[in-house]
Amino acid sequence: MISFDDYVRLRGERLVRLARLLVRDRHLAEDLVQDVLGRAFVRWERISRAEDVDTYVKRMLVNQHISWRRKRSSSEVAVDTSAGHLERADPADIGAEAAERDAAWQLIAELPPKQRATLVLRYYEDLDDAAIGEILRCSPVTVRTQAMRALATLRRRLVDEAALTRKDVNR
Amino acid sequence: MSDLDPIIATALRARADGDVRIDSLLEGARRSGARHRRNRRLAVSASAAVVVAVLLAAVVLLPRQFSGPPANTHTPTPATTASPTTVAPSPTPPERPRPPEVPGMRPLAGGGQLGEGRQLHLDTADPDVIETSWGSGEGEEMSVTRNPRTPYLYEHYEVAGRPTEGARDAMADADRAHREGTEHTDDLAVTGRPATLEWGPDWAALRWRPVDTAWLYAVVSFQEREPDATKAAERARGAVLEVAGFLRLDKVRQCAVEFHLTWSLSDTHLASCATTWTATGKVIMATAGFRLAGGSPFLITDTVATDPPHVNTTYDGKGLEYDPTNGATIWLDGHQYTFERRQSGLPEEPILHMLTSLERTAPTTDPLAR
Repeated sequence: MISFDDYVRLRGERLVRLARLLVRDRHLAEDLVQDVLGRAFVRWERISRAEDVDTYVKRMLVNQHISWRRKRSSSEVAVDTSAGHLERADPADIGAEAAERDAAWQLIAELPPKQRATLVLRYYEDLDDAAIGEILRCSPVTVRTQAMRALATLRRRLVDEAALTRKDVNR
Repeated sequence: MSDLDPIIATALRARADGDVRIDSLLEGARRSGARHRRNRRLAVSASAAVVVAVLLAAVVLLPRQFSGPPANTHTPTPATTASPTTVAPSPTPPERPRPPEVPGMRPLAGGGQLGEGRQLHLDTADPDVIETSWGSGEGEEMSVTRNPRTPYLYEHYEVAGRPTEGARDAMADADRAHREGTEHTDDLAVTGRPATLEWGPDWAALRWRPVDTAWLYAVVSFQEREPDATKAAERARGAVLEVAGFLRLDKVRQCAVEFHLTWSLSDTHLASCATTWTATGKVIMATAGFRLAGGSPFLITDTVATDPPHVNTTYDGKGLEYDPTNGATIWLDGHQYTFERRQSGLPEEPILHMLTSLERTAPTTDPLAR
């Protein structure tokens, strides 16, 4: 059984990075991880006996994130004051690749929480649909459906963004 | 692999990047754990400040079952069917130390309001209590750690109340979101009022409205998982009815802290209070929750100092520990006072100024009183 301190030292960084993608605001992301680890700390004896401690804690993180969204006002959750958020990247200034990356992040951040969590777990955590289903407590089929919807939305919006950018450049 | 895959993966990796301070995270997690353990959820809640509605003019009389202890002891037994079940209160609370009564305030049983005056309106007659935490602010909560007793074997339960059904359900749904297992629901009756039972493999919860001014949520944590569905349902029903039977709503008790601030930002007001008592009457933690004018919360918690001071800065000639992520701590007369910044975003100076202005006092319900 891994001790609580060892687990946090081993996995804490990864959890914070995951939270940054779920919560968007970096300070709130750290708050969220602290909150979830605090809840885990209270029940650590039991959690540390789980077959897959990491999946268990990630499930707590995702669930708690969704419940935070329910509880809090949008201003507390959704606003990211760090650089790059909301402002459209200027291709002339930072290059097409960076602009595309920022635009993609912007659009991912606007997805509904479960769709966003699905993409984050698939593309950042590199988990398969079964593992994502374990965390989101749904079937792999539902995971695929969520991912499909999210990707369709992203594709549509990225095309719109590109069209807008072309328009601006031609103006 | 679609053409979008590399774009998404790159965007996420770039976004997640940045330093993570593990020591600070670990310390914050442990602090958060202690907070959860002692159930100061009310005080730590980051949701918007809510002043309990005082517009309910009519005095609502409590159902007779709650107006006083019954003559006979009633020990609920596990129900064997899913049919509605009723519960009667347990006998008079044992004479154990608890916060003093507040004279002149109406208890819930007499039409009082949850969170009124940031005082305590919930109590338990549980004879097996080891430690109880109370919190009062946006609503109220009571958390009980106890010696588990057969047949239900639970060592912890919480009862939380909100003045509206919507607020109660938002809080209950949030609580449930991190509980494990397939959830089930069933209808019950508690003191003649409809109630909803929910349960998982190692927990059970009850939503009901024992008096017109309070919507309650009680949740029980069992020591062991129960894999058998029928037994899990029986255990869940029996335990929540027992907890509901322990509940007392006929007194208002004082939530006090033993410190006051001689200096604070001009727009600071007291928003919540929490206190933790052992069954022998030792106060092991007390927290005052504050809000700034914009609603941003911060907390100051008084605990008996268990660790030696870790002073890393001074302010006004006084030594403190300042942590840029969480807040600051000062040590006085064997106690440690921790300032938790929470979502207030306060910078270092006012935090250190407020904390170094702290003085120990006799128990007070208003640590901002000059």
